[in-house]
Amino acid sequence: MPLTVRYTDSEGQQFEVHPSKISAKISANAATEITLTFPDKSGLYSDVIVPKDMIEIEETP
Amino acid sequence: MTSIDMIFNGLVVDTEDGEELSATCYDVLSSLAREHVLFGEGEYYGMDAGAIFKDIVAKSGNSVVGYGGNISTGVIVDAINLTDSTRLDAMSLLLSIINGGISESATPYHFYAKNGKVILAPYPDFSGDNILELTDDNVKKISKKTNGYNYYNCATVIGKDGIRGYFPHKQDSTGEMIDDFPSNPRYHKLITEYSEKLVGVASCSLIARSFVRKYSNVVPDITCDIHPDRYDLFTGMPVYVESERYGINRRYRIADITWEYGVQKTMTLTLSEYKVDKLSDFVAKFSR
Repeated sequence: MPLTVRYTDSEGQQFEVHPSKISAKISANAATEITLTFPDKSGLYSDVIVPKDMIEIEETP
Repeated sequence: MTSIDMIFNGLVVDTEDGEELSATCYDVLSSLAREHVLFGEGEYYGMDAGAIFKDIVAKSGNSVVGYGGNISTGVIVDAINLTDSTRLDAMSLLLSIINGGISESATPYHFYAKNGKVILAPYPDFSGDNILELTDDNVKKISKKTNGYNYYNCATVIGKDGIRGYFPHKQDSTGEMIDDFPSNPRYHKLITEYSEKLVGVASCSLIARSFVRKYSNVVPDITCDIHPDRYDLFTGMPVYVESERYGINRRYRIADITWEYGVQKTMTLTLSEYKVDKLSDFVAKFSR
């Protein structure tokens, strides 16, 4: 099933982003770590993806 | 869990911009690892460990949406001072106390983040629809690792002002614990890292019991590379492995998960056992 990645910026604007790779490390009683990778040679995402903004991932039915 | 449930909710923490852009994101437990229990807010006496756990989460100044677990665990903390601990460290310490204090037949607790909430709950039972079944059809590769170096059969925990709690320990005729170093301290673990936090002897003993409970069985961890067809798996999830190819037919719990979703899709699960039922056997053997 594909994954949908939603991004919410500091002003509350929400949009879908399309990473080329998502990797996850999930350990017991510890924070889950997700790394999103974007092929960003055009700079499309560089000004958008910044710390403190929210990421949500769900499986798309 | 249905397919439309969120599988991750967290914040972007680091970004790295080069040939490609990468963003590392963490869930709410990461925020709790970077926030300390404030001076004057960390002392608790005679409270249920679950209620203390909830208080530690609820007083977070970070964007924790809430607490979704059971408040009552039935494990009473005699005296503890969590001041200056990170909230995540305090939660881990309370988890050890809870798992040291529950009955031998009870299911151990764990905590996790889900949709911005922190949840403290017993592991799900080995029954119902929650069990992940792994067979030769959906397992690509299995490897076993047995780490006997981590075997301990007794522990001493040092608390504030040098108080000590032991496991196993002896009791006097009234049932009160007496200071008594284990009579046969082979494979002994001395735990000193909580010396400023554990104010009561009973809490020290529960930490020692929790430790021995976890490390007194040497069982192999199983690493499974599986075909990644779902991403809603969680740590503590019961797994039944039935592999003729690897000669495995038993139950485990998921300890760690790594997965990658891109041009290639991979998923690796580390599975481990938590043999609560062995504790009484161990204590009986030790006291002989």
